[in-house]
Parts: sequence; C-alpha cells; structure tokens
Amino acid sequence: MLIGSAGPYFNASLLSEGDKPTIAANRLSFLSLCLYVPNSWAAAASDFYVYYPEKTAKPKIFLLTLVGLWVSFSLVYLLGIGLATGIPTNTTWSDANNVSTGALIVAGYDPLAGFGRFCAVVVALGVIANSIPGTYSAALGCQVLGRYGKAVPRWVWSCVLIVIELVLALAGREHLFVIFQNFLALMGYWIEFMICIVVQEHIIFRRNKGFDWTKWEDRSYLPIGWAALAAFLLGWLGAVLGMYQIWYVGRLAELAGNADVGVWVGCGFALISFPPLRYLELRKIGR
Amino acid sequence: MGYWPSKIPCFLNIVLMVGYCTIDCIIGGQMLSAVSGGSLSIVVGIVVVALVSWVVAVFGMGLFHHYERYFVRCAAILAASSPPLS
Repeated sequence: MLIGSAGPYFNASLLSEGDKPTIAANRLSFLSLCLYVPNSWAAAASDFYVYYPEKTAKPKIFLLTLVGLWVSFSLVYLLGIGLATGIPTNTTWSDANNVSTGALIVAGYDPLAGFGRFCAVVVALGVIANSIPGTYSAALGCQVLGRYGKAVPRWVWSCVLIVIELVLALAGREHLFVIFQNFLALMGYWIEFMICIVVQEHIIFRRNKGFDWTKWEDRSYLPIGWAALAAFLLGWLGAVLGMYQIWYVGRLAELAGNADVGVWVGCGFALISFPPLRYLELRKIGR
Repeated sequence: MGYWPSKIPCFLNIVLMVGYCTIDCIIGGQMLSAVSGGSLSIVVGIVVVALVSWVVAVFGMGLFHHYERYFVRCAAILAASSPPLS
C-alpha cells in the first residue's frame, strides 16, 4: 500500500553525498546496521522457538527464520529509504518529517486520503504487534535472571516493564533519532559476540555431546564460563577499538575512514579467542 | 556461556527489548497523533500504544497469537481492496 501511494515520490536518482571514502565508510556502517538489527532478536528468539514441537526439522526452522527476517526487514528498509529520498524534493514530506518520523509515514499515505489514514492506523497496530513480543521476552528474561526474579510472576514483570517503557517513551519522544543512534549501535555489538560464542560452542565443543536441557539451571552441570566471559570481553575490546559512534571513535575506525567496523573487529576477536580458551577450560575444569 | 556469565547477555537482552519497545511506543504514538491531524497529542498516542501492549503482554501468548492473526487478516483485506496502482 505504501509503495503504491508513496512510490511515485521516491527519488531513485538521488546521489550519495560526500567523497568516495566517506561514502564507502557510510555504506559499510549501514551494512553492519542491516546485520545486527535483525540479529538483535537472536537472544529473544529462544523464548518463542520453544513453542515449536521438539522434533521440528532443523532446516525448516532455519529457513523459516531466514526467510521471515529477509522479507520483513528488506521490504521495510527499502520503504524507509524511499521515504527518506523523497524528503528533499517533497515539501509535504519534509514538513511532516519536521513534526515526527511517524508523521512522515502517515504523509506517505496521503494520496489515499481517508483510506490512507486507516492504513496508517493499521501500521500503528503493527508497531504494537512488534512491542508485545519484546515485552514478553524481557519479562521472561527478568525471571531467568535468577531465583529472586523467578519468585515474581511474569505478569508482574510485564506490568513493571510496560511502565518503564511508557516513562522512557514519554521522556524521549522528542529525541527518537538520538535514541536510535546511541542505543541501537551499542546493543548491536554484544549480540554478535554472543552469537559467535554460542555457535562455536554448538558446532565445535558439543557436536557429539549435545545439551542436557533438563539441567539448564544446574550450576554443577553448566560450565563456569570463564572462556565465554573472556571471549565476550575481548569482543567488547574489539568493538571499542572499531566503533564509530557519536560519543567515541575507536582507533581502527579512524584508520577505516570513519566506518563503523566495531562489529567486525569484535566478532573476529571473539571468534579467535573462544576456541582455545574453551579448550583450556575443558582441560582444566572439565565442564 | 556458563551460569554466571550468561546473566550478562540476559540482562542486556532485557535492556535491548525494553529499548525496542520504547522506540515502538514513540513511533506508534507519533503515528496515531499524525493520523488524528494533531488533535491527539503524541503523549496520548504513546499511552494508547503502551496500554494495548500491556493488555496483550499480560493476558498471555494466546491473546498475542489472536492479535497477530487478526492483524494479518486485517492487513490482507486492506491489500486486496486497494485501488489499482497507477
């Protein structure tokens, strides 16, 4: 719908601004963004995949996840970019964008008049559909955090979290873009290191052994986690060296022409350091 | 990642999810405000979004699935009834 009504105002011939290295650096930063925003749901995914039957085929889950992420993210990214290209030439859109990002989306539906406003409400409902699993997952996370967290029922956690979200949203409603920039980048880093560590543990160290899921909170069965902790922190070290953010520019980012290479450097650090450290941990501690 | 270190990603995941939901609340609120032509302030929009999220998040996954199902149906009907693209 949005493509149909706003598409004619998209400006596909708009050129990127800046000199060549800057453009290349910005493109790399955007690529990292495209990588870690969908990936940032990785830690929450398990909360929902437990609802699948235990015998569900692995390739099926893999394909479902991949296709779902691709379709949803690429379509919305393209729409967002399209709307952004229309701002410099379309005064209605630039006026709407000055009011808020939400107003810009509504302005995209303007040619459809009343029906367009209805579509905008549906999109707003879709936004709610996006925030519900987030709250649910966070509430579950609060419970998993420890035995005190588990003593509190999940619906209480949901209430608490919603209130926190409401207060944060009300406080930050004029600073959406700043929140996006500062928060997303920082959050994008750690999830990649966690994925690196989990995948390596899964493929290298538990290829044959597997996991005993019934002992998921048995402290004497689980590894102490020195190797994982060290690899995680080393990943952060790489991220700090390679990050290009408003508040800090790492040494490696400067060398790369101000591209945000934190994710890639951090992943490299975590990937290289985890296997030997984990091997040592298995040898010395035995679990 | 082990018993204690895995609490770090767990905590960070909570922060991440709350952050996403905050962004959702803001965008949803902005859109509702814009649809009403400014007669509904962004603050009211945000409160509405948070309230609906609260109802579904508290009353469980079952309701959540229902919501998603009707949301998809609603979106499908909309797509089918759209005027032809020029």
